[in-house]
Parts: sequence; structure tokens; C-alpha cells
Amino acid sequence: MSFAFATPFASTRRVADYLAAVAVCWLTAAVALPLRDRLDLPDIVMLFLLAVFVVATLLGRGPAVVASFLSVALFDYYFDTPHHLLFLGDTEHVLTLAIMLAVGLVTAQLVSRAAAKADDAQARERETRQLYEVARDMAGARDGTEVLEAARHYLSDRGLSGNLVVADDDRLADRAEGHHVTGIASFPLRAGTKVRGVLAVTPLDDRIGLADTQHRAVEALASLAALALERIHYAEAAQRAELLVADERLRSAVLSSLSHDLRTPLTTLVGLADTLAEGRGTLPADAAETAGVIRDQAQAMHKLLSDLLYMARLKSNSAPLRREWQPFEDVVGSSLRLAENVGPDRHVIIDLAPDLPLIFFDAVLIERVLCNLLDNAFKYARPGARISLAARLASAYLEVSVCNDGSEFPAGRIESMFGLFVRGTNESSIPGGGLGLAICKAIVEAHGGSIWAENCVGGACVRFTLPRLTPPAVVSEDEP
Amino acid sequence: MNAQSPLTLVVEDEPQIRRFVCSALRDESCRASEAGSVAQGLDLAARERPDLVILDLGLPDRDGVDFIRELRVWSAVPVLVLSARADEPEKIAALDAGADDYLTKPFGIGELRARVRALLRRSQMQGDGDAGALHAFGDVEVDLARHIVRRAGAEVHLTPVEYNLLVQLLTNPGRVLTHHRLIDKVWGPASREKGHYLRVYVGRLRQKLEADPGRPRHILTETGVGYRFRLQP
Repeated sequence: MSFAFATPFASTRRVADYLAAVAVCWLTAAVALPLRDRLDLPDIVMLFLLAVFVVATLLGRGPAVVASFLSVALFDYYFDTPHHLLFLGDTEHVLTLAIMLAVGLVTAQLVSRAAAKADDAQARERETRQLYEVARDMAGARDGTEVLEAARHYLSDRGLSGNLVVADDDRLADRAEGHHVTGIASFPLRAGTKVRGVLAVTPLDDRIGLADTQHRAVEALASLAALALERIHYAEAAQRAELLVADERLRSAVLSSLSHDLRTPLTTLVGLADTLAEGRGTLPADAAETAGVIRDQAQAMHKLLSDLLYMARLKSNSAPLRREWQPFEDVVGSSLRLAENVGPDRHVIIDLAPDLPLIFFDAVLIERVLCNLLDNAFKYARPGARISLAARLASAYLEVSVCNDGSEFPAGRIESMFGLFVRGTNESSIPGGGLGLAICKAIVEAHGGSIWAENCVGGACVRFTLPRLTPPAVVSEDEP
Repeated sequence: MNAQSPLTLVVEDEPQIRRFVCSALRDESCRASEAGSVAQGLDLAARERPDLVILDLGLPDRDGVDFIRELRVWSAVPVLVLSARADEPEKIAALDAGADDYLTKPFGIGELRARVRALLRRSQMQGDGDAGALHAFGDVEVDLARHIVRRAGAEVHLTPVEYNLLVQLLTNPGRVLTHHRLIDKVWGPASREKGHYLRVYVGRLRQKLEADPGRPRHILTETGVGYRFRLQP
């Protein structure tokens, strides 16, 4: 508050206070003079002390001190015998004068101390109210700008200007604390364990530094701002999460209606073309063959569609994995049934390590991986090549590999093969959308495993891993 | 078409799909009646007493699973479900409600005809009374009356749980049995969390009874749904 008294207005008020003190003394003298002969001297002393007391109460210590001295002088001059002599003549009332002065000064001191205390209490009360107001403003703030606005409002009441740097960065706080530009005080906004930003404060009048009391007030402000920023941060995070959920729900709804709407015409196409192709002699041979081609193309289109939908579901996390504990052999058997039934001369050599433990996986998705890998192995292999599927146990993983002999991966492309729409041989006549390996990668990674490709002696291999984890016990039944 | 040929009810809202399904049925010498909604389908099923129902799960008025539940109250007619969604929970719900088999769209005519044949054969078998105590598949013979299992003439020892599981499969040939259903029947309804037991025991049965356990020909896995026992590969 000290700066409040430094304004020109305040200093004129002070001069007026002193003049008023002088006036009160003269007034007292003027009132008492006509009664001089009828009153005892102690009564007049009391009148003057009353005047000093009134001045001290209303105008403060300085005017009261002036009034004390003036009262003593006026009393001595006008009322003490001999009249109209100042501190001359007999000294019989020296003690009276001395006591009068002393009482006046003590009164001035006491009253002004009480007044100072009252002022102090008022200042504290104002401070508390302002802090409460800024806390209320910040509690309602919706973003960093509104927090800054509330902080600035509070600071400008104190002759300070402030700026707010909002950042989720702990290093910022260290920099702020170690960084002292003259005239700028910086306060890290620490909420919980995280620093949400920095409040930089400058006095409007740069000749005045930051007083201790101001420092404490700004610290209080900084912690309020930090809390407000933290609240805003979490509110925003919650809102984002809610939006994300709504987004996922929409995406999932779009995907399932897309899947339904596209599958229905494809089902019709496959069914009708197949009816014609299997028409048992009702169509000429080449027309029946054409119908067969239409059917196969529609089937291929369906495969592509479901690959795309799988991919979209996996990428959007809208299809949770349905993992269960099961023997790996089971999914190998069902995958082989799907992969080998496609063509007549498709045969896979199986090499599963004996006594594989139960593995925790989504059978539908891993079947998809195995089918895609076997399909690829057949598609890119030379006729008559040996395709093999092997599984062996490592310390923390089950490692599965699908290999063919005879056709290696093109050098330099191995890394990029698992990207979307990447194919082994550009513009090749081999059908496929380049989605197969990308889906395998998405599925395996969703299981916490990894997938990679490599060329081994005379052939190409894709290997993937599934975490072993700790399978549940299977208690054998009591034999009768 | 004579009155003796089996009657199939096709409940499907897409007319073009109905068209080729019915044409395939006629090739199997079946009569077909068509319905485009659950309400119409239930009505026809009650009036015409079909020998087989082919049901699309995505019908406009109500859920296809509701159809199965209502039908099962008064009829044991075999139900073949067509599911547009490759969504295992939906298939499981339909099978648990009482459907016998499913086909995921799109499907080939050959596949459809094979399923129809298998289901009709089974409903005829049910009509002819019990199938008897003697069953045979591959080189395996099972005598349910005497609890004896033989493979290539030699007796095979099965534990009680293995035997119960085999009986469940054997008495529902061609039918998809969901994991839940098999666990309920073999371990009891309180053992739903024993999914891995079922899979381990199916593996043991294959080891004991299948010629090539890695490529089973009789005890087939319907991935994500359950198992199917196939009498003839």
C-alpha cells in the first residue's frame, strides 16, 4: 500500500491535515479565552488535551504532535500568568506544561498506533477480498486467456502488470526460477507435480521494486492461477476423451452399415453368378466359364472389402480383441482347412513343436493372419514349391513362421512390405490388394507380438510372435 | 414337384438373394416358400410346417434371433442362418437361440446345397426315430450302449470327460455346437470360465480319434464360434 501515499493528491491532503490541527488548537484557545477568569487552569489544560485527542483520532500522529506543541504554547501564552509571555516569568507551572506536552504526545502515539492497526486490518481485509474475487474469477475461467485476464485485473490493483506463459513443461519452471531480469519477477505455476506455466510480473512504475508483501500476494495469485490452469487442462482432456468416444461410436456405426450394405449386393452377385456357373448344362460352356469368372471376381472383391473393414476396425480400436486361452494347433487346423481348400494342389507342411502351451489370442484374427500368410506363400511361390508352417517356443514368445522355397522377397523391399497397399512386385499379375501383410501386422501388434519377413536359404519366410504369458491350469480328471 | 418333396421356408428381405437360394433349393428337389420379414416368416412357418428354415439375420422388422426363439417354442425344424456380418457374437447368439448351422455371406451355391442336404438328412433321421447306439466315422466305431470306442478294431481308452464330449459331438452330427453349449453339457452351466478345458479336451479327442490330428476331418473347429462334428468328410 505504500505507493498509495506517494500520489500528489495524498501529499496535499497531509498539508490540509496539519492546517486543520493548527485550526483546532486556535479554536480551542478562542473558546477558552472568554472563560479565562471563570475557569481553573486544570480545566483549560483538559480542554487543550481534548483538542489534541480529537486531532490524534481524526488526523493521525503528525498533526497530533503539532497540536500538542501548539496547545502547550497557546496555553502558556494566553492562560498562564503572566499572560502574553511565552515561557518567561515564573516557573510555577513548568511541571503542568511538561505533563501537558507529555500527555499530548503519548495520546498522539497511542491513537495513531490504533489507527495504523485498523488500517492494517482493513488492508488485509481488502487483500483477502481481492484474492477471493480473483479466485472466483479463475474458478469460472474457461481457458488460459481468461485466467490471464483475472490475474491482470488483480495485479493492476497493485500497480503491477503481468503476463502468463502457459506450457506443460517442467523445464520452463527451472528456467523461470533461475532467470532474473531486472524489474521482472517470474513465478512458476506449480499444480500437483506438474508446472502449468509461468507468471511474469513487472511493476507499472519500473522505479519501484516488488515489495515483500506484494511478493507474497503474487505467490498466492500464482498458485490460484496454477490450480485454474490444471482444472482447465483436465476439463479439456475429459472433453477430448468424450469427443473421441463419440467419434469411435460413429466410425463403428459407419463401418458396420458399410459392411452390411456392400456385402448384400456382393452376396447376390456371387450367388447368381455361381447359379449360372453351376447351371448343369443349361448354359454353353464358355458362358458358364464367364459366370464362374464373375463369381471369382466378386469373391475377390469381398475379400478386399473385408480386409479393408478389418483394417479400419483394428486401426480405430472399435473391435476389441476376443482373446481366449487355446491350443495353437486348433487355429492351425482351421486355417489349413481354409487355405488348402482353395486349390487342388495346395499342400502345407506342418511342423509344430510338441507340447505347445496354451496361448492367449483371438482365434478369428490369428486365423486371418495364418490364412493371409499361407495365401501369399502360395500366390508368390513357383508351382510345386514347398510351403511350410512351423511353430516353436522361445522364452517369452511363441514364434510362428510361414515359408516357401524358391521365391525370395525382392531385396530392399522387406522393410516396407508391411505398409498399406505395398506389394511384392509392382504391377504384377498376381491378384491382391497389398492389404494382407498390413492386416497381419496390425493383428499381431494388437496381440503384443511382432512380425517380420526374411529371406532364408532358397526361400522367403514371414515370422511372427505371440506372447506366452502364464496359461491357466488344466486339472486332469481323476481316473476311475 | 410333389407333396412328398421337402418344404423349405426362406426368410430373407433381399429378393435377389431369395431368388438364387430358391433356385438352389429347387435343384435339391425342394419346394420353397418365401418370406421377407420376421412376422411373415413366423406366420408361414406356423401354417405350412416346413422341413427346413433358411433365415437371414438382418431382417427389416425384427432381429432374426427373435425369430429363432419364437420358432423354437413350438418347433424343432432345422434352421440355417445366413449372416451378412462376419460377426461371431451374432452367430453365437443365433446358434444358442436354437439355430443349427450358419453360412456367412457371400456363400457359394455348392456350400449352400451341402448344408441344406445335411440338415434335411438330419431332420429325416429325427423323424425316423433314434439313430441307434452304434455310430461309425472314419475308422472309429462307437457303441453308446456299452460305452466302447474302437479305432481300427482296437479299443481306445477315453476318460469320462472325453467320452461325454464325444457323445455330445456324435449325437449332433453336422450341427455347429457353440463353446457355451458344449461346456454346459459336459462340465455343467457353472463352468463357463472353463473355455480352455473344452479346447484342451477337443485336442485330446483329436489325438485319439483323428487320423491326422493337425488336419482334423471329423471334429472341426468353427473359429470363434464352436465345433462341428462331421460324420463323412
